[in-house]
Amino acid sequence: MEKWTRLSAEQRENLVAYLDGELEDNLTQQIDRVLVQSEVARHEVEALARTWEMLDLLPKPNAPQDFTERTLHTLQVSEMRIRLVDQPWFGYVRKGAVAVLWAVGLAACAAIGFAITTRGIPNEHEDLLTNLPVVKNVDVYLEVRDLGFATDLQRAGVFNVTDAKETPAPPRRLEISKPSSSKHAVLEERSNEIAKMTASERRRIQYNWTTFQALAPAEQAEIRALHAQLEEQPDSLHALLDTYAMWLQTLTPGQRDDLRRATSSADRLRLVREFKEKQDANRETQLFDLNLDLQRMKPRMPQTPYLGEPDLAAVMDVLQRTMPQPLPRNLSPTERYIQIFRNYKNYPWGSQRQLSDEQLREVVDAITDEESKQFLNSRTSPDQLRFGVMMLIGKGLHAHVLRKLEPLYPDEKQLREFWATLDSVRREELMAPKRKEDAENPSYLTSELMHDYFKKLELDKPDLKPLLDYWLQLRGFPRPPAPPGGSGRVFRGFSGGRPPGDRPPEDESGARGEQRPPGGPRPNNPPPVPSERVYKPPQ
Amino acid sequence: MLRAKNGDDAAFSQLVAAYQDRLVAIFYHIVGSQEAAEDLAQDVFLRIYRARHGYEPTARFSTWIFRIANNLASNSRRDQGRRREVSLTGSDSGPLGPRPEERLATEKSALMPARQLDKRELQGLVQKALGTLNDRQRVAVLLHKFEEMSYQDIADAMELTPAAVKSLLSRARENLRQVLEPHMQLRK
Repeated sequence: MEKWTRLSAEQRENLVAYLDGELEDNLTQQIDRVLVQSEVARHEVEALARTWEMLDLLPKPNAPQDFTERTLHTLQVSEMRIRLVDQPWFGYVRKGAVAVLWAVGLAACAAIGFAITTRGIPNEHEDLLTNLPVVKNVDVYLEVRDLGFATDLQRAGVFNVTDAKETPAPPRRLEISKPSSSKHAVLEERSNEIAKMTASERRRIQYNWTTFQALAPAEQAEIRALHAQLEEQPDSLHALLDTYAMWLQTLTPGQRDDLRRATSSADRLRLVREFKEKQDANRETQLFDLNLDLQRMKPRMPQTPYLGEPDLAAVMDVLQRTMPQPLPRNLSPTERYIQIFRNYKNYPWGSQRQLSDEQLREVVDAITDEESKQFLNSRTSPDQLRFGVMMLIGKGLHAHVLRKLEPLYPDEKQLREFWATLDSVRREELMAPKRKEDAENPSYLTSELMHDYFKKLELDKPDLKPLLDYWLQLRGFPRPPAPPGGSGRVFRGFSGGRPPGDRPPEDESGARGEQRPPGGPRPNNPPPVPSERVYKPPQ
Repeated sequence: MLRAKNGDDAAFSQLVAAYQDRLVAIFYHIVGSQEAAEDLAQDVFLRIYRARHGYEPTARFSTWIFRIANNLASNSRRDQGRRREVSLTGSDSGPLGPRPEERLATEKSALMPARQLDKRELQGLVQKALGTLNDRQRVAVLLHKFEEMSYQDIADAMELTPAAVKSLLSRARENLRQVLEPHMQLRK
């Protein structure tokens, strides 16, 4: 190698490692040979070494004297667990926790307040609901008085309780209280029960509750004890007491007073037997004497001519088209006919909205029945024709209503059974009417009985009311032939008629007074039995 | 360190005392600020202190401590801005970067090799020459120069291979030679 030979890149790189003693032996020997032979290489090595030595001039600043102390202090501080309260997030958490605690506290207060008001503060109707099983039967319990009388009554066989196979058993008035898991569930159940009652049932409950509250505490305790005893008795006894309670309604007020005044169960049982036997005897006599003029009281169709169903429907369509105001949509066909006819014919007979000439022509054209056509053709004047048309329509509607009512007419058996359900007062009224003309009318009993029957039917089937109302306004019960000297009036006025079995007030009959409650005086203005759910159990 | 691992804070204190100057010196020539160097040195000790319970004597302690120092220095350089008189960027570390003498072209003092330089001036010149090196060259030079660490130790600390350290130091010293050689004859 020449002394001016330049070093290769690899050789140059190895020079530093050579100087640092970090070169492998073989490479070191190689560099040695190069350095011996090359002046350039020697120069470079020297330059590298000298520049390396110049680095000794670099300052070496020391750490300050307190560096160790400061460092250790910093380390200790970093090692210290930051107190929870000093954490930056702790403040937010604390505020949130406070807000949550407030909310929980307010909710707890609300819940406690609600619990106190619902459980601690008594509901005004809670007493009634609590005592409802007793209250429902207070009237019966006051009549029965003790369990011994009830069992004696059953043993005596005075009443034949209806065989369930023949007729449906009447609803039990004496209901055994059902065991329930919680008081509030029971009260809610009873509240629902009252809400479902009819108005008459609620009035009875109200009457019984007022009566019960008026009793002395000792009497109330007796009633409760009797209720508890009866709850343990078999159903047959409860059915008997149901029958007994209904039978009591057939007695006269005097007879009921006699029963209440009886000093012992034996006396009461004797009176029950006596009254029952007398009733049975009277009933049989009445039934025997009952001259039901059913044949004459069957629905009688009007005399022809009158419009049959097809012609009646066609004429009603014509008349409806010319009505000034449309009819309601939910009317039955019969109600529709009645309202259309009333638009042109008001009652009592006489006042009418006349058909126009055009209407008259349309109506006449709609009639297809030959007999009706002949009848109209025989009219000699426009007024007669107009009157004739209205008469055909009216009689056609009459016949239509009768056809609707015919299936509802009772047969003899039904009417006699209905008779048996009447109380003695009504039976006496029918058998011995006070008005002379009624007493002289052989069909008075039948027609009045029919009236009572249909009024009862109307109560049971309210949808028949429009039909029956129209029928009664037409005096639809066929008028019997007028008795000699009589006016022939059948009914004394139905709009104010009493339902069957109701007793007249004192001022009307003059012979009987109000049924006096047992025990103490009847309180005035009793609080109403709630008609809706009044008990709301706690959530 | 093993004693410090077991909770002996006095032993750790001795470690701090033993390495604080060395770390501050290294960091001083990396970040260029005494204050920053002290902060970085404290960070090194803080990391060691927190990791003391998991320390295992699988390597030399100095290698470990300077590895931490190298990492912190790298992080610091990334976070800090560069000093204006030392324009060192990542692109400077490669062969395409400006040559060291080009970086000093604006420094008038570097253009006056004919003048006799006193020690302080030379010191400044050497510092600037060191500043012309890229980050890894500088760290390698400092560890080799100040800590007299072998190529293997430097490799362990910088997480490089020994061959990479050899190449690094070769280039670094070549760069230094080019910058400082004109002034070597002028040393008093």
